[in-house]
Amino acid sequence: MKALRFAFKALWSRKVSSLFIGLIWAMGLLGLATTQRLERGMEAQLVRTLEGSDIMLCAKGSPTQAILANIFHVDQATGNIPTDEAEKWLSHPDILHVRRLAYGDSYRGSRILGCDSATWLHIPAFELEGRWPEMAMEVVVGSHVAEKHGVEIGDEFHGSHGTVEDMGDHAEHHYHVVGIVQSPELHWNELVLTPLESVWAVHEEEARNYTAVLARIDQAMTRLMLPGQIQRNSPLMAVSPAMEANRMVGWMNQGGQVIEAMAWLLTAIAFLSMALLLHSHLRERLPEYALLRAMGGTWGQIAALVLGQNFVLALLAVSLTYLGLAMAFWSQGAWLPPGLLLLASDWWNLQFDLFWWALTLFLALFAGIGPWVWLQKIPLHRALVDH
Amino acid sequence: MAETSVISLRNIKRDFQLGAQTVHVLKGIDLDIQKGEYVALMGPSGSGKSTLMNLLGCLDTPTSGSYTLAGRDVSQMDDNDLAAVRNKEIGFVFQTFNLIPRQTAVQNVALPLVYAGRSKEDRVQRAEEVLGQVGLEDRMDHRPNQLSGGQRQRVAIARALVNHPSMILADEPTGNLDSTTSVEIMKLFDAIHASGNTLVVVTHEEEIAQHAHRIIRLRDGQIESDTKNR
Ligand SMILES: Nc1ncnc2c1ncn2[C@@H]1O[C@H](COP(=O)(O)OP(=O)(O)OP(=O)(O)O)[C@@H](O)[C@H]1O
Ligand SMILES: [Mg+2]
Repeated sequence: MKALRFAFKALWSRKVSSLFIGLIWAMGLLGLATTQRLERGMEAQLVRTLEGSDIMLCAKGSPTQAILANIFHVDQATGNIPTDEAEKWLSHPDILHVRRLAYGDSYRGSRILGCDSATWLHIPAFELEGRWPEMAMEVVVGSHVAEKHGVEIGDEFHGSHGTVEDMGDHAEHHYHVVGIVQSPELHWNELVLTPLESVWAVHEEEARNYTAVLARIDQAMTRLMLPGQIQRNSPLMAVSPAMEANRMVGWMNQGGQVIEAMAWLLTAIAFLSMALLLHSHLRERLPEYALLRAMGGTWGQIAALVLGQNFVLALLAVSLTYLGLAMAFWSQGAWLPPGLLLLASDWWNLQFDLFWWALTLFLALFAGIGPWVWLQKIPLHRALVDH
Repeated sequence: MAETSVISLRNIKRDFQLGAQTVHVLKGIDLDIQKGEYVALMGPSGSGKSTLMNLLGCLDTPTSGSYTLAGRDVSQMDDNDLAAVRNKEIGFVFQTFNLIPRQTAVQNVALPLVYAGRSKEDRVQRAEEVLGQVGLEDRMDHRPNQLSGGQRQRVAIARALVNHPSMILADEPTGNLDSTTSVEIMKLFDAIHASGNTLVVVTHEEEIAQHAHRIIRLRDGQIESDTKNR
């Protein structure tokens, strides 16, 4: 305790250098901890989100865009596909658990997603207040949308055309709110769900279309072959979301590796600076440490004073790191693509942190070894000479 | 006679390695100092006074020979045992005072008691008591840079006394002080001796040495003379 106070005071007398080291170190640790969290969190999330989506039928266009639009519900869809063209393929015996989607209007910026019951029952770990829609024009509102606009069960509203607000109201068509749904998979909370028939009723002049169809395929061979077959023999685009997502994760991991390399560099700089700071501190206060020895201080007691400083620095770095992690978590909406928001349980998992905790303590100890050996080598009667 | 010796040196040698060369600084010192003695150590510059004081203070270990301090052979002890011996048996007064600049007089004086494992209350009480003895009762909470040279040395002397050591070692204690202040400090040493302490003082000034009851003169690493004074 006394050693920690001493260490704190010693560092306080070099506030700027100490804070600099603490910050550099924390930035390194933050880089390591964040990439680690993103990799684990996003992988876990992709696995959860792509569960049961082995094939996606949609209009031709960018596969990445199609995935973002139809699975994460963040980008514009690639277009529409005629229902009869899609249904031709959905009768394939290996195709299971089909979810049909049709984007309709929007309600104050939130998407109204026309879909079948298989889609809403597919929402992971949902909590439903009220009930699911039983007929056209009934809607279940995502919890965040409900919260944002004060929507309650029993309310009525009308949508606007497209996802941009001022493209014309469908004032004559009223949606009835029959439920509010909440899922730990946050993108579901941003949607308004309604049966496909609602979308088609509102847009009666148009032919019946799907925006996309998602399905599971249990047969590995079919999973591999069917998308190509559909691509060749129909105007539809057929992609495997799992494979496309792997490509996206690989791309993110590359970015992660760059950040990680920089994080290691920062950690190394912090380590060297800490060793140098301690060394110059010992050099400056050599007569004092010698005096403590002369007055009866043991090497163990002196070591506590000396290494205590590195541990206080380590503590500072770790605290700053958690501060940074907290800020990164709370602001993730600003820097992560909306579909990829991380769950608190993926972010705050102290078990993952043990690695860099251990690393930090080790570095604190290790950076003290050089200066410590230097201090021990100086004969006491010479070190006592005060200038 | 030997039972009452605080210090007993037998054929103490101390060599230093200077590159390839071995410098024989102490060439076989035999010396006994009794409890309650007041000894001045004199000699020309380079004769080995400080080297001998460092050995006496267990700040350094002899190349050969035996050293018995307060009944214990300290010539073969390890670092931490020596630290304990220094804490218990020896009070140091340095030419350069060696006070910790960020600490008050009381804290500086109490330092040896920290390593003696005394409680905080005990330490402060005892430190204040000794600061009173050296005439600094109104400077307890001053830091070294708020004190004059003579006052700093008084703090250092109080620190040397605080743990009731078997002996007090002072290497040129007045070396950084003007002559008036030196006289005051030597009066303080006289008083400390009068109250029963054992003192060894290194000096190259005759007047200072005249305060002692025994004067040992070193020359070239050997005892040249050892005489009673008054
Ligand atoms: N670590 C060392 N390495 C080599 N030589 C040393 C070392 N320490 C002391 N000496 C030499 O030992 C001799 C005695 O030194 P010491 O400091 O004991 O002298 P002193 O009697 O205290 O002199 P002064 O009156 O100048 O303080 C000197 O010649 C010095 O150069
Ligand atoms: Mg000397």
